[in-house]
Amino acid sequence: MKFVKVIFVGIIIGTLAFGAFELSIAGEKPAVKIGFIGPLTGPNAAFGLGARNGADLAVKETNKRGDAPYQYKLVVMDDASDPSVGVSVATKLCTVDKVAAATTHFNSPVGLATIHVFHRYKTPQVFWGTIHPDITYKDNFPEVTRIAANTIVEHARLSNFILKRGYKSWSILYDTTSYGNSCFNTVKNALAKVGAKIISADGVPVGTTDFRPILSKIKALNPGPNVIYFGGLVTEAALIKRQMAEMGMTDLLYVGATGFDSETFNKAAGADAEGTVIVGKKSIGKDSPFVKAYNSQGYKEYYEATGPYAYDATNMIIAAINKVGPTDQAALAKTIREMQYEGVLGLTKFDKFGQTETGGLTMKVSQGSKWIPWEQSEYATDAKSLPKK
Amino acid sequence: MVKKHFGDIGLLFLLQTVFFGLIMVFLIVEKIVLVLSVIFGTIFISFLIVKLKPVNQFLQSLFNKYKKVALCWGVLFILVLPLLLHESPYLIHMLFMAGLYAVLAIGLDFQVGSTHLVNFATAADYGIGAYTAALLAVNFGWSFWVLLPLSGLAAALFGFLLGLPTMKTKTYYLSLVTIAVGLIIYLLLNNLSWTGGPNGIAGIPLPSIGGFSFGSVLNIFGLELPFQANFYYLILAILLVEFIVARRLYNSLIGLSWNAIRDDEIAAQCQGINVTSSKIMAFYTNAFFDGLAGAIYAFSVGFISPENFAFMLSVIVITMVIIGGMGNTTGVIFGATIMTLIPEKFQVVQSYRLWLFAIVILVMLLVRPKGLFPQKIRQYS
Amino acid sequence: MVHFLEVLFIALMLSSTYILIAVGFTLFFGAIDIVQFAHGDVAMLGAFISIIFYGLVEVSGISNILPPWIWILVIIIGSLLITGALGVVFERVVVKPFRRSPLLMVLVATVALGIIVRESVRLFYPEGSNPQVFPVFFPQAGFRIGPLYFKAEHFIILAISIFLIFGLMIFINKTKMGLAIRAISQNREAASLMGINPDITIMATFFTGSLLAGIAGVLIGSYYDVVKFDIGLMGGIKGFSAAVVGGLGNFQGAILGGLTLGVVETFASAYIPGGMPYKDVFAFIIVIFFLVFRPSGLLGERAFEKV
Repeated sequence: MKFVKVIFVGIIIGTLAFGAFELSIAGEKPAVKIGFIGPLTGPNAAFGLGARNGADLAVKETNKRGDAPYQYKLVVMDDASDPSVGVSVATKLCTVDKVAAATTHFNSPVGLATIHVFHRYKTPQVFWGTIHPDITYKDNFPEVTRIAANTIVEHARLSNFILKRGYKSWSILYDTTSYGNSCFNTVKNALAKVGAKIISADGVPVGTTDFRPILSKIKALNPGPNVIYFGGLVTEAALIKRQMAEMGMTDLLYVGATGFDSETFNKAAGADAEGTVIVGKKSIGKDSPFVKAYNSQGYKEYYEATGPYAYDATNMIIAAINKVGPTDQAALAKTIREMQYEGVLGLTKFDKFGQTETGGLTMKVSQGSKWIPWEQSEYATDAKSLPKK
Repeated sequence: MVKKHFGDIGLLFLLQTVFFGLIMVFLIVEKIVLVLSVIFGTIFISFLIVKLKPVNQFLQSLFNKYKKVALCWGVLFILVLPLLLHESPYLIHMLFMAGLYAVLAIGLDFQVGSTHLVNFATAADYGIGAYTAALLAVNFGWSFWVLLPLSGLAAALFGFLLGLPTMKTKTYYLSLVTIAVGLIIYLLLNNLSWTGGPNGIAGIPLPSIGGFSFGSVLNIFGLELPFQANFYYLILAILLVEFIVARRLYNSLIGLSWNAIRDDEIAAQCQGINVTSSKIMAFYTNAFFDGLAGAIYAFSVGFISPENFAFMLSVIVITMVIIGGMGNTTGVIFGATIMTLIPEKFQVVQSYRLWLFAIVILVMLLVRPKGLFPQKIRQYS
Repeated sequence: MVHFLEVLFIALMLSSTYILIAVGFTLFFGAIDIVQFAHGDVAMLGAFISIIFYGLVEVSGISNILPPWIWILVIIIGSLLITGALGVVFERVVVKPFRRSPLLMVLVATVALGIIVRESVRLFYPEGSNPQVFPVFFPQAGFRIGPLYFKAEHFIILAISIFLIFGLMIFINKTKMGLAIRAISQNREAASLMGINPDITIMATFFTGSLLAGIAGVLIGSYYDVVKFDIGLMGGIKGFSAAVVGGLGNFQGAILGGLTLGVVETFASAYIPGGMPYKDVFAFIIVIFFLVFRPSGLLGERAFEKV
């Protein structure tokens, strides 16, 4: 009996000793830490992983060049698109890892929750994603800046472009997440401004695979629309386009915003993607230094639309830290806000709410299963024509 | 004789302290190898304890003899934890979240552990409590202390209504009704405009007691505890209340009725037990505590959205109860704590987090199919 | 009227995708009293396995040598067999250990299994987080009847589904293994006394059920042309709902349940203004309604009724 007691106690103490030993030898090379938060699991994982790799690329390149006064380390956290996880990991980054600054989030609800955390700990937060205006315009926290495109500007551009080509009757579909709702509200206002007519508007839950019922409803509308707008992300966008083709709705133009500005859309929609028009992010060619550098690192995941944004965001943070150092976070926040940065996205500068104004928008059309900037496409020269009812 | 007493108490003390030390180590370590070794080491040790009968019996008799000492030491540790962790607001926040989930899990244990009714609507009760508190606070400025019991009652009402149609349904059909209701509540919260839609409700103020805001630093024994500690103690208080309620119910006629229903519903009816009202009571008791937890969550984070109350949350709480040990309140608290901390510790493996977590769950279930702290068989004294 | 017919056909197709998943749940529940929460994810796995097979066939050039219908058949049968085999593996690891434990343990274990399967696909399949194009297995010829558009593929999917469901019912009711499954579902001990090996029978049940899931995955993949790692979760819940609404353990019930769910969802989306975000709400309210008034399911719970 006594023997068993002794063994038992021994095992526990042994495990503890091992742990304590590891703790004592674990020392980190002093480096300036930059935080990254994004969805690395869950339905938006592709965007989160692309962004993470973009941020990682920025840090790796800086360290490799060696011309900065500091070594940088990226501390990566998964928010799983869940606000409560976001709050936990944001707290961890600010209080345990004590990051100098962080670049965050794809989903607006998560961002809306964590801005309070970063504000409390006075840590600068540069958003590489999210769309909801309240993140910057509501509280105007000095720590918050957002490099992701402004949805109002996006949709104004889209509506003007499409209307000029004679598409006046719109059917709107939008996903029921924060993203889709924001798109819907913005496109509604933008269309009203240019005098277009909204024939129908329907929300579709994310994860829906069968859009045929709602498309059937639109098909039966009289008068019908001549353009269908979708406010949402890649998977649903591709499914809708495919099912539109299947149901014979090939005479309707299909448009969208930056949400499905990703080659994954073209891959998933296949030949049916042809002739889709979106307002997209700045076109990054295959020969651009960013793409070359990204591919040479051998990341498992594609950079998606979000990679370049996280890349520029991280580089901006690094530039600011190089200038004023990592310890004075108030100065850091101010420096980022006032920065004019020329990066992969073009020129980024912030308005007085920390929101970037242009984010390098380009009209794009899907041609031959690729997104081609409109001016360079065969549609612009009338060699090919868009669907017209 | 005295020497034996002291010897045994001393050993108990040592075992508990080492166990607490292990918990502290687990909280602090970062490297995935360490985290995994603590997890699997603990599983292995608990497996050994069960298999080695003499060790098992020895431990049980030791804890039974000196129950009060063990309890005191354990409670002291839990109270003192934030002081030990005063440099880490993050860890205190995680322990607070663990406490929240423990409240949810014990509530669920009323149903699952006592009556084997599987309720997938935990997220719905939790959400209703949270949204009631949030909407009334943000739109009408009601105080937290009023909203706390109110949210509990709102959720209890919902639980009662949920319990009604289940009068006739059994087992899997009951589960499906609760799954359906959970999904419906989530969809309503996400799509109705007055609930804030997918963007939820922001700007919920921090509660305060007589001038002391929960957002401010807590000073104890000269140490400055970060504000998260305030919420930690709050949830501990709720947990204590729930624990007492659980004990009382278990020892009462109601608890007996629940167990009787679990063992044989028809026999229970023959004994004159009102099966329907007993079942419904399990529903609204569970829902009440879920609602309290929801209100506390809303006020602690200041922002809620439908994503916080999705279906997976209900599944995770069920898992906590099963892993901890159905019908065993202490076990359930433990299950909730490790199931909250482990996914956080797995952040270090980033994208592999959820995958690794599910594997750990499976391993835990395979090694301890009855739960880490299985249900004690009733002692009829 | 035309619009109505179109919507009706869409509802029929959607229902058949639910029924395909529901009969699996019915089989597992009817035979061994368990809810295989990962069933939807096994179907997803079947779809992905056939994509991998297709890729292999393309790369090896077999598609250029043999006529399409041969290698398509090989791909499909191959994926089904592998999915079935995986199902047996899952049973050994995740279900068998809990045979003597409360039912809830199996439930949670299969939930964990579902997560592992889903995340494994997402993490280890190239670009797994993104939607994947599903290969074309069936003739894509489209034809019109007035303003209604149809594809040959749709009818093939319907035909195969019907064939499968009837095949399953025949298997359960007319074959020796089916008899064994029915026997152990009624009384496991008595069956083993009669010389039936419960262990092997359960493995056979899982093989069949997972094979069914595999083919469901292939058909659903063909219908939508796109699959993603997370389609199994909601698909599983809907399939489970359909099976329960109809009456667990009852195949006709699964068909009825699937039809109910598919029709309510489709018609709510197409006809109720602003109904699409709430389509699942409508479907689940109907589910609750039926369960309250018919607590054992629409057609009642039976251990495999004769066809």
